Amino acid sequence: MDFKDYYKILGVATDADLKTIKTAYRRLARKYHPDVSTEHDAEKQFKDVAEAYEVLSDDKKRAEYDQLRQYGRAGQSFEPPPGWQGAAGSGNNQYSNADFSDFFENIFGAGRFRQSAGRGASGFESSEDFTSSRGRDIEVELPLFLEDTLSDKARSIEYNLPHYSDTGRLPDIRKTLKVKIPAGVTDGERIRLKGQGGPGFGNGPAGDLYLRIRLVPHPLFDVAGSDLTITVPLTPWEAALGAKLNVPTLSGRISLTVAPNSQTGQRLRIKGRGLRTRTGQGDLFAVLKVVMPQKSDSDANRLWQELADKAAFNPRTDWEA
Amino acid sequence: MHSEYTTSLTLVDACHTIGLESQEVFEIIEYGIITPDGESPDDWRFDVRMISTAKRALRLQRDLHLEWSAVALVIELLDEREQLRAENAMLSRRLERFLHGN
Repeated sequence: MDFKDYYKILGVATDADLKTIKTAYRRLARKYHPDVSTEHDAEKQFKDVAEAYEVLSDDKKRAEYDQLRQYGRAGQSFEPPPGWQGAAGSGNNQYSNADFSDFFENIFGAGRFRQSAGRGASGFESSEDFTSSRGRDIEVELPLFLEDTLSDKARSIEYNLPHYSDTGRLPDIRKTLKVKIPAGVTDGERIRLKGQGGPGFGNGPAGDLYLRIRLVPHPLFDVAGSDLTITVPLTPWEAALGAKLNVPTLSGRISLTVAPNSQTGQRLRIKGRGLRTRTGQGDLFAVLKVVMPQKSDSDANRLWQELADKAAFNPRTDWEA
Repeated sequence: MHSEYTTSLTLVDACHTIGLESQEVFEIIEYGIITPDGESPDDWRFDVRMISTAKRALRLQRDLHLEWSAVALVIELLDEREQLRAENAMLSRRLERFLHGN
């Protein structure tokens, strides 16, 4: 495993006092916390920062780490000296999603997985009480097509489930689960599957599985809440004279009547052809867009010129003095 | 089929799921971070969105060393930011599609 230079991660000197370390941590935590950060590798960075703080803010852990440091270098492969026993332990760890690196686990972690991560399900004050705690919650993204949300859907999902034995963590199990997705789910919505998350410790219950719905962008429709928008290209003569069009919707084609003298940008509401909601159905908006032919022949140009001569219309009256 | 997705939780279940004691859940409700349905704690029902928000609040409080009052504001701003971003992205996409086709 790679050696981790916690001082470097926090950007502090090796003789930094606790106050300095705290300040460094707070600044970096704000920068990289996944709930808040816009940095692209925020989660990984935050994990490193949190782990570094976990060690350097604790006297015992820091002392042990300082001892070990002489044997390792950042970025290089590292093995603790033979017979190394992490006496400080990782008890009383503060982090909400304690998921430390191999490096940390190897130094501080023997038997750690048995300890509750922070305050556990049954509300213990101290994480020294490691007889039982609730397993970890897992979140999995579930992409759906817009069409899928129109009715209840059965889906098979796969995810990695953490796996533990009495002595430590084993490789994850790949778990498959059949779920029923109700109609009318929205983008970003979470569905909770009780007890399908990480296994509990001791007698603790398993965590939950959360499915986070992600609606896949549609080639034709734009989504705004429960409404959909589709751009309807029209020829100039269709806009001028009106037309009857066959417009695609999520559930088949419908007939749309465009009135004479329609404008680009005009929105025509097609009721009930949007996305399904828990209570009903949104609408589809057809946005008209007049499109010119790319090429023209002399016959067409003659007709255009006739129109230009006969039709008295100035679209730029606003520009006159 | 594992379709036992629960739509709302009682206070006891919510505490377990979020990882807070009831006293702390009372606190985050007091700060307006979440607002469960129901008149009294026994009637309170927490939906999945509230659970997610509460978990996020706990992460912010612990990891960023914030007071609940600050957490409440942060979450409000984060929600607003997310909404604005989504709206922005949607309008950009729509405009792009409108002007230049698919």
